[in-house]
Amino acid sequence: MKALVIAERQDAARELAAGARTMADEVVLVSFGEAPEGVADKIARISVPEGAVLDDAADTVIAVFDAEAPSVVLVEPTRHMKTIAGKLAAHAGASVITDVMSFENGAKSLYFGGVAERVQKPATDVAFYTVSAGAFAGLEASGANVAEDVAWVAPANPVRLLASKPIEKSGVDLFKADAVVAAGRGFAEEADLDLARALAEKLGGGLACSRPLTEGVNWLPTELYVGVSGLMLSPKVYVAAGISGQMQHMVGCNRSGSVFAINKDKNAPVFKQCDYGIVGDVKDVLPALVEAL
Amino acid sequence: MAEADFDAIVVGSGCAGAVAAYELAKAGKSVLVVERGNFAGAKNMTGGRIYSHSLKKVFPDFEQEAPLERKITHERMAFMDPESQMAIDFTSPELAEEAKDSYSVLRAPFDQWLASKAEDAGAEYIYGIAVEELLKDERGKVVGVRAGEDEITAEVTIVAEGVNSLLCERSLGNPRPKPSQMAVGIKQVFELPAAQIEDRFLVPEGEGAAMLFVGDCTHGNVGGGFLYTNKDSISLGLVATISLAADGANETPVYQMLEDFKNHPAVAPIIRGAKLVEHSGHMVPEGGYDMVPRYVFDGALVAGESAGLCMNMGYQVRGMDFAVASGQMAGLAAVKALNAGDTSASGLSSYKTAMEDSFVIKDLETFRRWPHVMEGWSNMFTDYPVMAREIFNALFSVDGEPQKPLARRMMPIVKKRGLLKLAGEVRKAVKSL
Amino acid sequence: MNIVAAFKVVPDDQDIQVAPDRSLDYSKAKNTVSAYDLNAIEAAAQLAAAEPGSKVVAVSAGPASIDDSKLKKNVLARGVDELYLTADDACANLDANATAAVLAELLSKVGAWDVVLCGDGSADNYAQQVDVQLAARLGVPVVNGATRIVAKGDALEVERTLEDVVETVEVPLPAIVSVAPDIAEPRIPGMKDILAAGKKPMNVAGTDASFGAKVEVVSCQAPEQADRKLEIIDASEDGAIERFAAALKAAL
Ligand SMILES: Cc1cc2nc3c(=O)[nH]c(=O)nc-3n(C[C@H](O)[C@H](O)[C@H](O)COP(=O)(O)OP(=O)(O)OC[C@H]3O[C@@H](n4cnc5c(N)ncnc54)[C@H](O)[C@@H]3O)c2cc1C
Ligand SMILES: Cc1cc2nc3c(=O)[nH]c(=O)nc-3n(C[C@H](O)[C@H](O)[C@H](O)COP(=O)(O)OP(=O)(O)OC[C@H]3O[C@@H](n4cnc5c(N)ncnc54)[C@H](O)[C@@H]3O)c2cc1C
Ligand SMILES: Nc1ncnc2c1ncn2[C@@H]1O[C@H](COP(=O)(O)O)[C@@H](O)[C@H]1O
Repeated sequence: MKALVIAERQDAARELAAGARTMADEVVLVSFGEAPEGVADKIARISVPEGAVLDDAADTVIAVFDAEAPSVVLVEPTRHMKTIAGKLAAHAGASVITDVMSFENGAKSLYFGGVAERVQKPATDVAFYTVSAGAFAGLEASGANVAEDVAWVAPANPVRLLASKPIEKSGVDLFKADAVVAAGRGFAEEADLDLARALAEKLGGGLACSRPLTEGVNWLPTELYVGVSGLMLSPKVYVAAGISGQMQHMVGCNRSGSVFAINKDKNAPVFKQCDYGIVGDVKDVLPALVEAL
Repeated sequence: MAEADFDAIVVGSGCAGAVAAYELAKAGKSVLVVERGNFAGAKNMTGGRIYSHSLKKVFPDFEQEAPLERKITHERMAFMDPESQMAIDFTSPELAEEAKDSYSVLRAPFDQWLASKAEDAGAEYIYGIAVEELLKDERGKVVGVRAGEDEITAEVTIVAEGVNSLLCERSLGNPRPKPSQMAVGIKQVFELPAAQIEDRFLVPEGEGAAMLFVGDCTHGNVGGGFLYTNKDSISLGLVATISLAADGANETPVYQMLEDFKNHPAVAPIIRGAKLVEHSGHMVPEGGYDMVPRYVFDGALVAGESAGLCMNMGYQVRGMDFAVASGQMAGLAAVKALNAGDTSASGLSSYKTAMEDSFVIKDLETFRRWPHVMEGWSNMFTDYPVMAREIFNALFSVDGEPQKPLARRMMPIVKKRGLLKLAGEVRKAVKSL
Repeated sequence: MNIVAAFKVVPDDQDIQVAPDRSLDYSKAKNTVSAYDLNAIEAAAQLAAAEPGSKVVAVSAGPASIDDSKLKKNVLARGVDELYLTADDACANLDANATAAVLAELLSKVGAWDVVLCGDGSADNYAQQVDVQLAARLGVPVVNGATRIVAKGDALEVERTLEDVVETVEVPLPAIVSVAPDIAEPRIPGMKDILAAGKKPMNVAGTDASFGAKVEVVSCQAPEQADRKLEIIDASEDGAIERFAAALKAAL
């Protein structure tokens, strides 16, 4: 059995290749730049021409797929790679099972933003998965990494890349923080976020948020939102301030050591999912808390 | 004036609004209903029992069509002190007779059904938008509604937005109800399989029970508890005067009263093992006849609770049959005025005549003194339940000690309260009912 | 420009109940437009407004229950000119491959179009795959994560915000573009919008095709709830802040 791994980032390539090893005897990695060392039996190297978008490597990847005829395909869930995965699946008359968290009797992913966990199996000959980081944690990748360059297959209607600008990241590593204070739509003004910042500082942790604070209002950068489509954190202490407790958010923090909630609505769903809750206005509670700590 | 967008606009699709819209649409008038909820009944609340007489007049086949929960054939009234309960339990075939019958309902399905009747008759609906203001022409006649930047005009506007009508206050100049004219109701719905409900309430399949509680359920304050059985759930709640509701103003907040009520030995077994699925709170007008404001204006009518049409007997709230009847009368009066081409207050005045000739205004008038009696009659909620406990303990408990004759057992209990005072209170109450 | 917005209708997740056996009970959940597809509809309306003479068509496929007057008016009240639905129980719970097949069939009824805008992902599957599968089936280019779209003749200039970079790309038309929610805040329709919506063309049909599932669902259950202490206090209670602070310290 053969597995095809498709990833654009090295750590994902390494983890997926390690996982692929548990599913197949032969692992082929499709890589678009430098491949990590010793992770696969074979590396199919694709270099994306100047002015092309990475997504348009799909036709080239299809050529690799046809040549290798794998029975399982594991893909990193970035936007570029999701396009490639989808095109590949369409080519094979299949659907991709997305954002898989673990494999046991099928592939488990979150459904309805975490309201349920759904286990699915492909009904087609070839299985396509995008796999979340951590699904194969602890496994070691291995292989001779025999590299082979693949000729670019130009798409019929190429998308032209005009500019590409890296996103500057804040640098805080919330995954390493013991305490995370997350702000939600209960904050009426951007300036009020300083109240949450002050608490985060006092606890020696970092500031995170719910998704709406990164959209439309852009009070905080996208990489700081917690939830099904954002960060999945498990700090010792998670403080949800002005967050209602929708499942899409809570799946990102419900593995924390202790969950604290501050909300002015005593019926907010977050109070059914926390260890300690305080019913009150963030504008009153946060400064008082900082004072009391 | 340019031609109006609609013959009629109805604000609110509760019992009153939907029925008014139905009557107008059925008569071929163009009607727009603007409902704040994302669907009819989305946030509406009631205790749970509708007396069917007025519904029957609008929808003769409602029994077959409407999403009714259970036909109420079993009545129970209970006086409770903190630990005991004395109940009157009553079943009789008359309760189920046509026109006297009553049904438990849940607002979400019931209001959606009413709205669908109006819509099927041709009424147009806008959901999810609250009307903010009534439009008036230069002479002060109501000519439509405004929400956000949009204005829509009509020959007649019917305000049926329920209790605490801001439109009536802001645009029609009706007084805001006084705090003393308002009570607050809270309710929880518990799911329980149909068969268990029938077993717990000793009712035949498909039939149901209504229970009213007086006394400790409101910690001895004015108000009462209610319980209605639905198909596979139980509605349980409290109504208490609003001065109690504001947290801090009283010792026990209303939601705490509900918690205590649920734990009362007479109530806890009823909902044992049932799953809490819904929680809601709402105002209840309790001023009775004296708080009914003006309800006929140039170009506008007011129906249902927006017109203060509700009877809070303390132990029982009745508003839906009033809402349905007033909605029908408002709708018919509007049709008549539209046909006659006169939607001024005098053109619409047949609404007032119809209301005064009907049970709506008559019942409110008959019971006009009851709210005051109730307010001044704290014993009813504090001491009587205790007295009942003492009397029935004296009657039932046997401990092997030689017993005194019945009369001698009872006398101290009654004497303590003064026989004359008791009789006087009861007479006053009966007179107001 | 002829712009199509593709939206999915899903049960409102606020009202999905978890049964004692942890299965999901949708009986109380009303159908609603999948949250992030409202942003696609808004983006379509704004793109049309920027290109005079444009038309916006909204399309959706799903079970027969999506043919609901309230829902249709809600969509048409958002700057959409016409609606096409495939409402057929054969279209319930389809995977991405099958959904793309239905949508391709539906698009053939719409007539000529320049661009199909999709949302960031459906509220239930959030697979971010239907857009791609549809593009593959139709043989047109696709880009996702769009945060700005500007028409440039027979192409679109699209800014896409990805995980680590912001790309500016030029997409030849016809094409499929899926938008990030950031692109446009959904409008709140007014009374006049809703009234006008009721008068716009709505094309609703079933389908004769059957769509084989490419994915089999083994199980779907609510996760076990983590045991939480659920100690809730009111901030106005005496010493509430101090107790909360102490619990915070103890947990660190
Ligand atoms: C496909 C999909 C994926 C999604 N992914 C994510 C995700 O990954 N992460 C995420 O976060 N969301 C996600 N969402 C959005 C999610 O569904 C919710 O809309 C979002 O989490 C709500 O954010 P919130 O709690 O900040 O806002 P709201 O739900 O609006 O809650 C605000 C809360 O603040 C309280 N409040 C208001 N004022 C005050 C005050 N002064 N003091 C105290 N409390 C106050 C209110 O009572 C309320 O409970 C997703 C949605 C979809 C459809
Ligand atoms: C706890 C409690 C128990 C009760 N028990 C009973 C009982 O057992 N039996 C009984 O007969 N009655 C009972 N009642 C009373 C009964 O529920 C009401 O009298 C009845 O619902 C009034 O009907 P309505 O149509 O006037 O108003 P509502 O049913 O309140 O309808 C008003 C409608 O208008 C909408 N609306 C409000 N403002 C606007 C706006 N600005 N623009 C657009 N739409 C708007 C609302 O969303 C709502 O749909 C009880 C009430 C309570 C609170
Ligand atoms: N049944 C459907 N009808 C119309 N559009 C759909 C449907 N399913 C998905 N889409 C569109 O495809 C996008 C991605 O969906 P998904 O792949 O399910 O995450 C959604 O945001 C919609 O724009």
